[in-house]
Amino acid sequence: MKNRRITIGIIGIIILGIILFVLNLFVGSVMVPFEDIFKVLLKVNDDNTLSVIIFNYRLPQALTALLAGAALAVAGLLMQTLFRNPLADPSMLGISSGASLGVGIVILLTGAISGAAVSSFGWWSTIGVSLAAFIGAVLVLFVMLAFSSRMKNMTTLIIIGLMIAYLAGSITDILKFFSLKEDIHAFVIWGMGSFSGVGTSKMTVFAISIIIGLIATFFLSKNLNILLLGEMYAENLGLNIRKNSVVIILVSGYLTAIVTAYCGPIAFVGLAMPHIARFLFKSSDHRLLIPATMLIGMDMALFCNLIARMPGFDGNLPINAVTAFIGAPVVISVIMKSKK
Amino acid sequence: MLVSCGEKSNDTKNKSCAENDNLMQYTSYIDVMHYKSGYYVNISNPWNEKSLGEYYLYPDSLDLPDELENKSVIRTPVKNVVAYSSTQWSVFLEIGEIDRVKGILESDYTDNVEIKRLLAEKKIEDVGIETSLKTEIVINLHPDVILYTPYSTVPKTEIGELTGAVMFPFADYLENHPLGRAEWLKVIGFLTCREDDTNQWFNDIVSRYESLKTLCENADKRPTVFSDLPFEGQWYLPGGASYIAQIFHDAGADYIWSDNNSTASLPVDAETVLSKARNADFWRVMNSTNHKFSYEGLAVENELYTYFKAYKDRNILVCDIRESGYFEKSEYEPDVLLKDFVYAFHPEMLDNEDYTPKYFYRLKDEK
Amino acid sequence: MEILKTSSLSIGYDSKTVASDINVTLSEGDIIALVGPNGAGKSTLFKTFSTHIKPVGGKIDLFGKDLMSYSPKERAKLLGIVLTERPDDMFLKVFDVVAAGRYPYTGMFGKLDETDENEIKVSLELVGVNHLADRVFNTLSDGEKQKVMIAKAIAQNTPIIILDEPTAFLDYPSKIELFSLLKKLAKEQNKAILFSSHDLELLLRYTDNLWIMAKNKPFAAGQSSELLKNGVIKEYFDLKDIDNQYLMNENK
Repeated sequence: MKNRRITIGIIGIIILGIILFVLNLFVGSVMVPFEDIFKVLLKVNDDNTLSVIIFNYRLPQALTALLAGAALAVAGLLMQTLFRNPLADPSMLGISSGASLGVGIVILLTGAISGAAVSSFGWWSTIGVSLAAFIGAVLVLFVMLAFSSRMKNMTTLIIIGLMIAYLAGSITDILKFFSLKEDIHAFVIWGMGSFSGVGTSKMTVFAISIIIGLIATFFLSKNLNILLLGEMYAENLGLNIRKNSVVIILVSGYLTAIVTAYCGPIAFVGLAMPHIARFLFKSSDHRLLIPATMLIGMDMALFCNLIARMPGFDGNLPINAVTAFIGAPVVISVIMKSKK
Repeated sequence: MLVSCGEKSNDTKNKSCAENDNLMQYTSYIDVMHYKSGYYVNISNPWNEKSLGEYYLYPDSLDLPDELENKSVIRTPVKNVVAYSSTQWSVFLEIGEIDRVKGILESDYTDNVEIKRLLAEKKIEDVGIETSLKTEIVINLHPDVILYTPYSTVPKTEIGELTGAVMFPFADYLENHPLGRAEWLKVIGFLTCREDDTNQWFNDIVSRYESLKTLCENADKRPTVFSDLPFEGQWYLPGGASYIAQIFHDAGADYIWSDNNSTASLPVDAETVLSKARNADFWRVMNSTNHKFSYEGLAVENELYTYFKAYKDRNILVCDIRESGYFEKSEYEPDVLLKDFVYAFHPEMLDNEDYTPKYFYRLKDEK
Repeated sequence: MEILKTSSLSIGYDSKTVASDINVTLSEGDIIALVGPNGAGKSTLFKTFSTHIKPVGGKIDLFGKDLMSYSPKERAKLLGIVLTERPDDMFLKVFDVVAAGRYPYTGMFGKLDETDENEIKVSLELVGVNHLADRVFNTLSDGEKQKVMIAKAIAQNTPIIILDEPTAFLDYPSKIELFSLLKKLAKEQNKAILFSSHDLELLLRYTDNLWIMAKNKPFAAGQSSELLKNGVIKEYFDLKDIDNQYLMNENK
């Protein structure tokens, strides 16, 4: 009975995901006439612009959304369980801010140094942006790890994370203050988030990096379950609290850093999706929650990507505006429910 | 009568009173008229009906007419100028009046040797950047005129009240016609009493520009062109009524987004650009990095580029912004800019002359 | 059989010693109450036994081997704890809480085999909460929660169970029920049970052995009736004004 409910739920999410994925391929600002769909599918052809749009533009974008959604959602779940705080997500540890600072330095400072705006973005700067985001995120990660191995108290760690986020944010603001208008504009655009930064050429690296992180989370499920009892009980049951915290922070930070590097800081997916998984399956078992959160994260990211690229807008809506629009009400309802 | 001229609307020149009188031919946002022994200047803006300001330029050697007592008056030639933008001081430099410029902004961004020397000798002060002006240094320069760049979002700065200088909005960048933008150089002429030289300078630009344009009007075939590189999957394309769109048109090409009548940049997603511009003949790209572009490098950045006809045909036109001094110099060389494009679009029109483009060159295949 | 033995044990945090020269033993079937006023160091002793903190001096032997020399996994199979802390997850089920006791015995993904399932079932039955197995832990009463946490400790299958203030927040009948449950565990399962409590009156009535701690006083251990007779309880609890006879009578 209980297992049937879970099976039906998981299958439902997967089917929804497939539908959303297909819609992502066939809906966009350029219309694909219905009768052409099969023609395009049957004959992949570089001379056909529709085929290029679907396979070289929309497909990598949908795959990016799928992977990024899964990664951010599960990273949020890990943080929420580790910190036993329903509002924890990777941005709380300052990881996203670290990534933003890294990108800020590249976009804003290189402009100031070279005397020319990077806003027209040569090939080196696109790679530079990804690299800077990763370095910034990993740097903050290591600072947090240093603190977390010294400190057992999770609340303290969250406060340190918030302070690091503020610090990184203020350095970014100072950089902005001294920067060219074009560079600030480019930085703001990066901050809006996008699933189209990966493309076909960087897809292999992106996908492998994410999948490695996703697989790693499955090996954490047992320890995460034990953490639900509280740290003292978990410790008594033989869990090495410090080592475990370090591993969880490392895995979720790694996933966040990769996604932020390629897609910009995408908010709310990590915060809201774990709650949907918990409420949908009324469970706290991470052996179920980890895959469920990933799948829901995928669906949500695909849905947001679809909304952002709805025909009618000639350009893309910022992904962050869409994720916040959907994520914020979820978070509010969670707070209302847990306060009852 | 002059008051009614000041109240004219933004987009249409007031034929009844200003047509013959207006000393500016191509500009949309500035009118200059004779007033007694000086000039009356009205500057408008694209954002609202209100004028950005009315100014009277009056020779310092003459007594000021009584009715101008309470107006914004600039006594010419100006003595101490603070210039916000390189498009302002570069004209002073060109006509040999740079000693009137005492302060400039964002001096880190220029490669101009002469300016660098003057800064080193402290003949010109760096007064900071737009968002954080070194107020005390500006006050100490005792400027009589501050040439600033007006923005829709930034309110007029208080620096004018502190220094007693006249804040003069230099709205050159708002002009969407290449000749309109270049014509702002005449304003520096009026301010320094060198209008004869600047008028001559501008008229030469016009005649070179117009003759190139006329050549291209007779072209048999007009190639198609689109512009720019995307960021995060989104293109920010110049509007169909923008500066660069006008140059494309005058160079005898059809801009893919010419039917759009916006002057601002348009956010357009990659698939739309791909479907509309895939078969465009030329692709104009700005490079603000210190690195040279290459076809291989572009393909690494984004594989989608390789599907464009302009990429396949090796018809990408690049401007290395920094190396060419694009932002500093091209504004007053619209004829050169135009010629670069004519050379790419219609080499036959230039009688196969051995021409080296100054700003935009065709990116060569390294292989 | 002797399970746990301390010799010249000093406990505390870093350099701040809370209590010293503790020499006690804990044997199979023992049920011992640790009493003492607040701030005497009861929880510090528990934290030291559960290796949450290190001893400041002396040592603790568990089955004749230094407690600190066991790996966390090994220790988890020898010593189980029940704290006043409660899991507060919104969806955590009673069954899952008890199943957590099997953590030291399961594989990488925590899959329960037949033995584990059986242990959980037995533990739930032993404390009488098998009917609650599918309930969300958070929705239980305080008494029910306490029982479930004890079931977890039973499922953990350790020779020693340490309970911190197990009677706190419980009503009178539940407290009596709890004491008989602990007694049953000690007698039937041969476990050594150590718990702390403030309920002096109930302790004197239901337990045989006491450990007493008080600030600036040596650690005392012995039979409750003896400790009462020789005035140790009165002294440690600062009850000098109360008639000895009163406590004695109550105890009878």
